[in-house]
Amino acid sequence: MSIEDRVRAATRARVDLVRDIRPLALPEDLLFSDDRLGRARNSRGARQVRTWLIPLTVAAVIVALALTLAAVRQAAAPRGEPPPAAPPAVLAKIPRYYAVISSDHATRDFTIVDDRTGKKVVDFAAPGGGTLDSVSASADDKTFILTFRMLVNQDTMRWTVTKIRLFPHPGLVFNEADIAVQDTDNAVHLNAYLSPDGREVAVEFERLTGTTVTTTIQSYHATQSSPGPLRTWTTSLHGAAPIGDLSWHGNDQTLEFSTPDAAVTGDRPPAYNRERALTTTAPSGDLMAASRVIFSGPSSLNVFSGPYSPDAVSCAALRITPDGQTAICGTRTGVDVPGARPGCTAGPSLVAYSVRSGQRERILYGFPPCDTGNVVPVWTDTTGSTVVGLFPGTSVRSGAAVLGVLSGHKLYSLPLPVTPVDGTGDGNGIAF
Amino acid sequence: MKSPSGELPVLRDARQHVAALYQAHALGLVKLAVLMVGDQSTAEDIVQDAFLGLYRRWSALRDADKALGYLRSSVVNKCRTFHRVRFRRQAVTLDPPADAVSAEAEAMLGEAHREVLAALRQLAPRQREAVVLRYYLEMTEEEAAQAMGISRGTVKSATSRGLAALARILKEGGVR
Repeated sequence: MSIEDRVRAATRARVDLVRDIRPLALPEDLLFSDDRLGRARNSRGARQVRTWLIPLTVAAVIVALALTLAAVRQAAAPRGEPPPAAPPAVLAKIPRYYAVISSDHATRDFTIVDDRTGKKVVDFAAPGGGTLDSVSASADDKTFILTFRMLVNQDTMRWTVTKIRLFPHPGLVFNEADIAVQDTDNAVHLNAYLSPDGREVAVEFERLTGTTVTTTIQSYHATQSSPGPLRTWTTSLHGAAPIGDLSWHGNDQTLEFSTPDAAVTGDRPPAYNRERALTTTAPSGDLMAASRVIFSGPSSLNVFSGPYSPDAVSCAALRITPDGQTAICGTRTGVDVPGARPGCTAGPSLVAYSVRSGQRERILYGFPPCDTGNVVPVWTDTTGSTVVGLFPGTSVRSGAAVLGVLSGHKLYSLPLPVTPVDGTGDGNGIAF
Repeated sequence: MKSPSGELPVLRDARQHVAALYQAHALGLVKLAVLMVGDQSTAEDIVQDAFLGLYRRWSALRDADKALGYLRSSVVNKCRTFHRVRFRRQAVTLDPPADAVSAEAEAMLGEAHREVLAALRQLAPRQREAVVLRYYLEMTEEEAAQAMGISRGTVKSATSRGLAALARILKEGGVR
């Protein structure tokens, strides 16, 4: 067979596997679009002006940079300065686009930010008067899943889980699928988590019965035609949420979540220092029976159980690195710690533990004693050497958070042009 | 004058034409893009983008019959841009993981076809475009030249060099 015939045969065999493609989305069909970007792109005049402006802008930036450096050399940096902006070499290690739910307006906005430029590439409010609740991202840096809630009547909340995809032109997103979640009656909150390959979504919601909290996790195909939950697991706990921060592990078949490492006693909140793994092919049923413990931080580290110790930490959020070797714990500290001298607990920190031994390996970053707040790891690279998270800012006392990236034990700030809805919360309002 | 639906007639006309073109040709264009870029998801993005471009420029299109040619050129150009951008990204950052869907799809093909496709991916973009347009779409040199926006002579030499390179890669078993 000639080489031409081999090319014909191979290419035809390959394209025969392509059968279904998604429907065409023209601007009115696009769920949301940024007309300003579209107009600028279509305007030849604007493009020409932009081209001429480039050298002028570069010159202006150089002059501004020189002036800034001169000023910095003359004045010693005062304590509590915000971390420096992440340089390009650090930015290249993390996903380019991230999604954030913001609370700058009366309605919550959904924004996708290009962390290379610091600009919003997509910005919209929840359609139809709904409230945006959570966002998560797949590994391809352009697919996200959002949850909305809408009060239908006094007793009924309707939840919507929507998968969107950033269009090749930044500024446009394509509504890829609305996943029909089921059996969510009386849920008090609902979060959705997209698998790294974007094919499955894990939906987690809570119901309250008196002081007992019941958590349900469902898995769905992340497609418009998803027939319903593939699996469902539930668990309950008296007095507190039975699980904390859910996330997918890198292999697309495992969900991980944290659980309290001690019983809930009195008014002390539990510390979620124990991580469990759930294989999504496990049969439906009891969540704890279907999952297994993969990491258990020493219970003595729980600031909320036992006497106060300056070394004690409690994980505000726990994340296992994709290689499965390291548990990254973003700590929670505060003046509310029983037994602590008000205002002088150990500062919040980002700590790496060995998953195998449960022992602390290193402190990736620590804030000074007496600082308060949470560190919430949002994204980590394979080994935990680069971690993106929400960190207490210099204005931590006013409650504002800094979106930062930790690389080489240095903390750099990332552009955050909006106020995240959960600036000091669990990280469900921001996704890389 | 506006139609009852509130759309200007020209806009409605563009929408209908572009939707009809999509119905008729999108699958074929996605198949072409899959051969150029390797994975279906990216190929669909590229084709969507080409149709969106056509829709936005519909009023400037002088001959509606040439829309398919415009789309085909647009897809070829966007595939080329995709390779350039990916190459630049590889130089400074981690290469995105191989597309799982593509890997699964190609696993269903025979060994001989997989080797040819892998070898095709190793060609320079222009050679790959010329070979695919000539031997998958069975275009003439003139048609391929129009789609690629280059001269007929360049298509001829790119095709010839592409085939020679394919033969060498397959003979040496140098498929990576």
